[in-house]
Amino acid sequence: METNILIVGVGGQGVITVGRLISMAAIMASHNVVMSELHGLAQRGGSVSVNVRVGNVMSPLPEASAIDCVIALEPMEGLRYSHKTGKEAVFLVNLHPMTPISLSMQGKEYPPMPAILEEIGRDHAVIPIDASAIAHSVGNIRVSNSVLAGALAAASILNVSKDDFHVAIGKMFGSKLKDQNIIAFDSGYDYASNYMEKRHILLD
Amino acid sequence: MSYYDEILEAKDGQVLFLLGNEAIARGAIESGISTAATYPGTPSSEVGDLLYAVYRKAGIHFEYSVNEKVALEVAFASASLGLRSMVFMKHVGMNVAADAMLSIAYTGTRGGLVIMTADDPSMHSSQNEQDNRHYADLGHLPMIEPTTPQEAKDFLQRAFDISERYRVPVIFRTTTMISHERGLVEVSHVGKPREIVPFESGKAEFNSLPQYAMRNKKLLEEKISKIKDVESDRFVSIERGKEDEWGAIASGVGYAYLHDVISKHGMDISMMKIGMTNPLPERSIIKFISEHPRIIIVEELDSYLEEKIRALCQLKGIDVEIYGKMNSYFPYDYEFNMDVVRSGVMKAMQKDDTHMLSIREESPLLAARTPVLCPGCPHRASFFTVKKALKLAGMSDAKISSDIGCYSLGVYEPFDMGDYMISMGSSIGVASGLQNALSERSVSFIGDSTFFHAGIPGLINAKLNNAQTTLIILDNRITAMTGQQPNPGSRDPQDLNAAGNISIENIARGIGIDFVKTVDPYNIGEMLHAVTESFKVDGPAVIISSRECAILRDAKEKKAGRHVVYAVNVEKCTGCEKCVEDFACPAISMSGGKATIDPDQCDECGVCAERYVCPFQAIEVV
Ligand code: SF4
Ligand code: SF4
Repeated sequence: METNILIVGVGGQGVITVGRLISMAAIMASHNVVMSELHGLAQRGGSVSVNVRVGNVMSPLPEASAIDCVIALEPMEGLRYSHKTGKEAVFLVNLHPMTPISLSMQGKEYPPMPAILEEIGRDHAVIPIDASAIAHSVGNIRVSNSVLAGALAAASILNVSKDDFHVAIGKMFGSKLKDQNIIAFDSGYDYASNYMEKRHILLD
Repeated sequence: MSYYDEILEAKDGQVLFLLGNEAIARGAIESGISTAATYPGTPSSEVGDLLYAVYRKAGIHFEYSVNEKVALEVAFASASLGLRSMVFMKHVGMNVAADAMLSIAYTGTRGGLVIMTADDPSMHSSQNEQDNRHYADLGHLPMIEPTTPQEAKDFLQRAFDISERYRVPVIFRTTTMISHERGLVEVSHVGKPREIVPFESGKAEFNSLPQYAMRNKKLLEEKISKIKDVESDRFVSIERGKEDEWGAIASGVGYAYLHDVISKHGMDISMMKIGMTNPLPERSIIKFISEHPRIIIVEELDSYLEEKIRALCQLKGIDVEIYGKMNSYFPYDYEFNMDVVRSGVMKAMQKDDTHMLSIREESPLLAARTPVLCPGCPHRASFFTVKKALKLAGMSDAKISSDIGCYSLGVYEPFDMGDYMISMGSSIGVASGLQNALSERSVSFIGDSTFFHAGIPGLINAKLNNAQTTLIILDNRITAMTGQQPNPGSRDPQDLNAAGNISIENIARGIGIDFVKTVDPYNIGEMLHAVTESFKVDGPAVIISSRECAILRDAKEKKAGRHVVYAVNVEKCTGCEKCVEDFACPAISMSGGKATIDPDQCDECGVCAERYVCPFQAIEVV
């Protein structure tokens, strides 16, 4: 069995941190993990993607049709992979838009959020989550990554428990950031569970 | 303890989740290296990032050398004295180091000397996807290629053993996906450094004069043939399948793709992994091929293995059907992945590939996100200003010769500055050459690190030939694109005035350039004036646009607790779109007909508040 998670976003958002956190949690649950990072040319502001593969696998990249979940730290980046992944892929989308300069340079505005979600939703189950807002309410914008990890845990795509995630957070963040990240993780978990319950989203 | 310290301190038997490059750095420490040198280059940079962070604690000499050739010479000197030494670089860096490498191949070494190259199929961050396996043939050097992060560490140690045992440098080749792949790695204990072997003078052991090179060439051939006999087969591993007819041979990351494709799709064929790709394990290959009359070969980039294996079969008169690149089962270009490998394997085996995702049409809402300079990047201000100066001088058509670094992104809109971009340091050479054909003045851009690396000879040449060019040296006090490494102009990026920094201005003056001006790109007026002046000069003019990289500055400001908020005053903003159109800072976008600044992205550089960027000065500190 293999589970493949693709994490996408904009350079500087912490795509790699999310990947490492999920990987660590899966390792805590005694799974084998392979993760690969692609940064592109830009230090900040370009498209970044990370693949996390859990299970008895060796290859750093999955088959495009075998991606189980896409975590988009930025909606447009989620949309970028919507047509390039199998329809089984569930999309967790952080509602934090970052306008690419290809739009702003022409004076164009970011497309309306509902339209983007609808486009992704055409082919995929979508769980939208305002991780940045939740992180703000926790008091630190940088913990939005743990919010998304919480949402992933709630969607039970990975065979990794909440406790495993908590341990992984403890390992990855220093004592001061650890508590904030755990609160963020739990908030993301609760938010996504409620959302799925309300919409009757059942993921196997 | 910092992340890198944890990797250094890890105890024998501990399992860590390491990047391929981190596994290599740990492997170097376990091998007991004394010296490591590099010039940073993606995808090899993290090897140096780790060693730079821990080298004092680890008790080794580590340096960011001025370029790859010097790095190799430094490592070689230490290896000649019996100390284990390593040099690592990106694939194109090996072109720079090759001059030294191909002679060191002949002289050999006493201590273990490993030369690591990280190739970049698909050119994620490179100007080409050259296959550096050919350097092993060119130099008659042994070459080892790992398939997983664990192997990256373990094979590196074996590379040192072989180098030491046969007194020959060993090439250690990774590709982007091996260097940038994380996996579980069990570490072993940290190695002891070697003792210096007393040097016997008078034998010209390390001298490449023809008479000695003649002797050494023979020795090199003997070494390689011994390695083929004794070592090469030890790097072979075979996973047996039930199918007798088909077998597959692969190396590096190609094997990982093959492995997962075969095990996932129930094609029960035998797979052979080759870890030493020069000299090839001929015995093992012949045996494997004799057992399987149909052989699939999986390798990225060139048909390196395939050509050699086909030649071997011809030589030994083995009758076998080979399916590879030469008969179009696999492509010659770009990185592989499981889909590419599965498709090739299935085509060879005449099976229907039903697993290929049919890519649907992309959404019309999708907008490109081309790589951009960071918010607050000093280069953005420099490009903006030079573009303005060219326009004012009626030189908008001037040819622009750029170079390798973050500023190569200046080629994109709205700056469009990069008619040429070839190789490290090429900006000035190209600019020198342009004047022979064109009568107008050109503009060239080079970064500080690239200037030290290979730009100085170009500038000397420009002076000698009185090249009509304005060279803008974008001095951001760091090697930014590869992840913020120091360089000769900035030995310690945390302390920009550290003693011993080498002055670019002094170099330019020393060469005899009369017009040398250092400006602050955040001060657009000042820079505009200098650039305009430089256009009137006869011969080369140098402008040093000096301002530290935004990422570096950002971290320092945060640490110091300094924080200013820039925002658009909607009363003053007329919605003219000049800021987004001409300056294109990613933190600024249009919303509701007015410009707006995303506080999460804004780097607080304040350049957009200048009247040159916003004619209405609508951007203010709040
Ligand atoms: S890393 Fe530094 S030099 Fe590179 S784009 Fe960002 S700010 Fe500019
Ligand atoms: S101050 Fe202006 S130019 Fe500088 S980063 Fe912020 S928005 Fe961009």
